[in-house]
This record gives sequence, C-alpha cells and structure tokens, in this order.
Amino acid sequence: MNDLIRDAYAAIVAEAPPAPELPHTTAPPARRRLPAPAIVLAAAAMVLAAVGVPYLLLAGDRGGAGAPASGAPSWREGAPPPFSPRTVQFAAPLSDGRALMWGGTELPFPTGSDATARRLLDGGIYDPESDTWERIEPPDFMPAPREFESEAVAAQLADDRLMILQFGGDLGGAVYDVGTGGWTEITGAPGIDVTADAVAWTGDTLVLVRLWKGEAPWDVAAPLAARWSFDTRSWTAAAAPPLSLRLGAGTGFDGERLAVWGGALGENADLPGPATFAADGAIYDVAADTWTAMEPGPAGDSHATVAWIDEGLFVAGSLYDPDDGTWAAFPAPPAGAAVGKTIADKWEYRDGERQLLTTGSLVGHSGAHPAQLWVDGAWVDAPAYDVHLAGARLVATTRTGDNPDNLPFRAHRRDGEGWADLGPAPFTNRMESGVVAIDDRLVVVAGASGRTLQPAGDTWLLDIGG
Amino acid sequence: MTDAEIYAKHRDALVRYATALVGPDDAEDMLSTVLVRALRRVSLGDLDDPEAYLFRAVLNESRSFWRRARRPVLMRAERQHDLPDPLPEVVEALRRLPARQRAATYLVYYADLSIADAADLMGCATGTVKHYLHAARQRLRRDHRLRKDLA
Repeated sequence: MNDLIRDAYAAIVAEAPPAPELPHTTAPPARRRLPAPAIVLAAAAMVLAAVGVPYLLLAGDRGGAGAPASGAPSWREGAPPPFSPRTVQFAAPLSDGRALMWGGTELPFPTGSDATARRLLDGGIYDPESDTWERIEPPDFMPAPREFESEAVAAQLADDRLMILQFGGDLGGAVYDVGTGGWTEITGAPGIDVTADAVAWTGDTLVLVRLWKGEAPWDVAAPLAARWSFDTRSWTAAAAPPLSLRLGAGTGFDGERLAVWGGALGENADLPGPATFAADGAIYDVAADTWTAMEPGPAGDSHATVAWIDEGLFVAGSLYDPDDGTWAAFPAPPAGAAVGKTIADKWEYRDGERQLLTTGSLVGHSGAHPAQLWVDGAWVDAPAYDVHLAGARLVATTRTGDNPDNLPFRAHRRDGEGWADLGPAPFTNRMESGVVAIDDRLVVVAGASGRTLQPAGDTWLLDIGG
Repeated sequence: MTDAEIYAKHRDALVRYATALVGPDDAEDMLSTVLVRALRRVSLGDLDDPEAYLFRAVLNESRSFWRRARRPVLMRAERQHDLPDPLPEVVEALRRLPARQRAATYLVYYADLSIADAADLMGCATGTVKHYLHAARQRLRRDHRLRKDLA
C-alpha cells in the first residue's frame, strides 16, 4: 500500500506550480532569539504589566489556548462557548482538528412533578488552535422538544456533517454541514414514520431500518429500510432486511456496513413475560444497497452490543467473521473485572478507528468503575470510565455521564503498560459535559456542575503532555 | 542566512507539500498567504528551525483552506484519466483523508522522512504521526473502491 500512496503523491506533485516569490514585507525588528513559548510569555507579561497585577491573578491559569502540548500536563480555560450553559448531548472532533458540540438539555433542570427540561438544538464549533468558537444556530424548521416528550433525538457525525433525527410524533431530522454552515431538512421517510431500529449515516446517505412492527397506525408487516440522499434531498426504498420482525436488535455501523443482530421475537415481544431471542442477523452494505444474512450465532440475545473492531464483528461476547461467516469465542476480560452484569460498549477513535470498551456496569456509588479496554488485541485495565484518543495517547477520564458521588473530573494518560494520573481538573465536578480529544489535548465544555447540577458554560483544555 | 536564502532552500519542498495538501490549483496562493503572514510576524533568520516553522504554517493554513472549500482537488480530472490503475482511485482516496493524515502520509511515504522528522515538521509527537499513518492506512483499506487493488 505504501508504494501506491507514494506513486499517487508523485503524480499529484508532478503538477506542482512554481513556488511563489518571497513577498516584500516590512521586516520585523531584529530581536533576541527566543523559543516560541518564551516569546508568548514575554508578550503576555508585557500585557499583564500594563493592566496590573489583579488581572494576573484572575487569568493566572489561562495560557494561550494554541500553545503546544509539552511535558507537564496542564489545564487552562478557553473562550466560553457561544451557547447557554447546559449538558452537552453530542461532542465529536471534526476532520480539521476542531471540536463540534451540539444539543443537550437546558439547565438548571425545571422543578415540579411534571416539569420537563427543554432539549436544545443549537451548538458550536471550537478551534483549540485559535481558542475561538463558531456558533451553530438551531434549525429553524425543527421545534425543540421537551425532555421525555420525544423518544429520542439521535445525532451522528460523518464526513463533517452532523445528522440529527427526532423520533416520536412524526419523524423529522436535519443535517448540519460544517463546510457550508447550514442546515438541510430531512422530512419523513417512506414507511418509517415514527421510529427506526437502526440508523446509519455516512455523510452522504442516511439509512433507517425498521425491524419491529410498531404501533398502529404506523405498524409494518415485515422489516423494511429506506435511504435518504443528502445530494438529492430525497428518500428511496432500500433493500429489505432478510430477517423476521424483532424488538431490540443490536446494531453496529463502521461507516460502510450496518450490522443488526438478535432481538426479542414474537407478536408480544414488547410485553412483560418470557421472550424468545433471535440468534441471527444481517449486514447491510450501504454503497451496494445489499443485505447479507449472518450465520446463526451461538446464543440469542436482545439489545446486544454489536461493534466493528479490527478483528471482525463483535457480537455479544463472540466474534463474527463476515468474510467466511464463522463465529469464534472472544477472549473474556480478566475475572473480577466486572461488577454486576458485564456490559460492553463501543467507543471510537477519531478518523474512523474503532475499538471496544467493555466494563462492569455501574453498581453502587463507590466511584470505582472497574473497566477493561480491548486495545491492540489485549485487555487493558482502565482507571476510569470514559476513554479518548488524544493524538496517539489513550486518555481515560472520570465518567461525566453518571457521577453520583461528585467525583472530581480526573484524567489519566496511558504511559507504556500503565497509566499516569494527570490529576483532578481545576473546575468543579461535572456531569454530561462535552468531552473531545484533539491531537494532544482534551477539550471539556459545559455540563451540569457539582452536586446540585448547576449550569456550567465554560471551556477547559488539558494538554496531555508526555 | 537571509530570509531569501532560507526560503530558496525550502521553496520547492514547500510548494510540493502545499500541492499534496490542497492541490495544484491552490498551492501557490496558499503558500503565498503563509509567507506574507509569516514574514509580517517574524524574520525567518530569527527562528531556531525555520523549515519546521514554514511546514507547520503550511499545514495550518491548509486546514483553514479546508474549512472554506471542504475537500481539496488534488488533481484535475483529465490528468487522472491518464494515470494507470489504480492510481486515480488512490488519489481520490487520499483526497478524502483529513489534512493531517494526508500530511503524515506525504511526509513519510513520499518525502521519505523518518517518523521523527515528520513529527518535527508537523509540530506533533512521533506517536501522533504513527497514529495518523495507521488511521490513514486503515481508512484507505476500508475505502471500498480500493479494496480489490489493496487485496
């Protein structure tokens, strides 16, 4: 492959234009040679000297957000986001090194027995290099629902296009194109009026799959699928899944292939009582609009974890090879790693790399979240729940989504075979912040703060260092 | 060395790098922009490593360029028709890589730099370059248009 890449670049640069002449500019005054950080500090010192010591105290830990990560990890505060304090629903890195933060729930939460918080449909894009934000206005064609009022507002990012879907009531959605800064409306899909059991978004094509019969008058007689094209803004029927109706199928999407597996079978699978679980599944190729049935798996399950990893397709603790249709046992995590029922969840490297995180379910309020990561073909102890890839480094942070004991937000950097504790963050404890790793930095935005869940509307950066 | 001498030493490599990042139609403009901005702020002769400074500035500017233009056009369509298979598909796949993955693959696989030297020019850690290369290869492997050729 490297030869192909080299040959392609050779063909590209064969067309390189002549180099421009050196422009005539006013030469900067000669100065003593300083390494870049020293120049920044010197300039900052001049500014601070001009405005006085009190400002120094207030801004003491706020270095230039664009400063490169260096040896010692350090937190600093960045520019505040251009949206109201909130929990952040969706946070992800963009291909150009910026971080997209979108959605969430208003804070403080309304009080009262029937109070519901408003879901927020605006957001922002943060550039850690320049420490600047760009606001994402909410789509003006989509009303913001109340919490619990709609079944879900799903969000997926692909190819720098954010796709959101609002289920419940009439299905509606939108795509925010970072490149153009505008929203495009997605109106209801044919036959998929209120919900979907599997959602895949490639940046160009949205695929919705119905696997459960649903409720009248929106019920279906058999599984079906539909595709929406960003280019034509229109829906077409997709190939139907070669599966029976089921409830709670596990789904996994790798950007090209959508796998659905398992689920509870029967007319009354949505009612309490014994259930029969399907042990079959199928894989949809988005580019080809074709389904391939999977070979029957070792055991049926519903809501199974399905995730594409380097080794193949992880399905509920087994490994499926989609090329030859064989199943193999997946190495079990070390004994004692899990507390309560073992669950698995997938997490995502930036740029489409995927790996698997499995952990014990969170039981009790001890704050000890035993977790195991599947990394490079082996299980690795993780010191905390959330894991990010910052540059080439793994960084684990105290879970932000479930923080009953007000754990300090704390980061750990993977160093060789162990983890280096980067210490607690300087801000108060957080729940449901937007957290994104970009290069060698961690960006933490907003969230519900402290035991009383006060709204936070700030930006923090951690240089991972090392 | 004067600014002119330093620039003369690196100009060809810089314009090739700029071409690999944003394509031949925009490389010259982008490099000119980088030079104007750089020379207003600093004399190249005052820098410890002017080559790394300029390469990093080109990469940063290419990312800004991306934000305006989305995907760069690395090669004109008519030229791609003249390339032997599967190079047109590889060029298209490279075009879809994020800028820094493309920078890493260009510096290591085409310019034949070591990981450490590429990291120096990109202003990041060697492990980060390794990650960019790994991610780029994975992404290319998963490009359905290339699967047959890479197999």
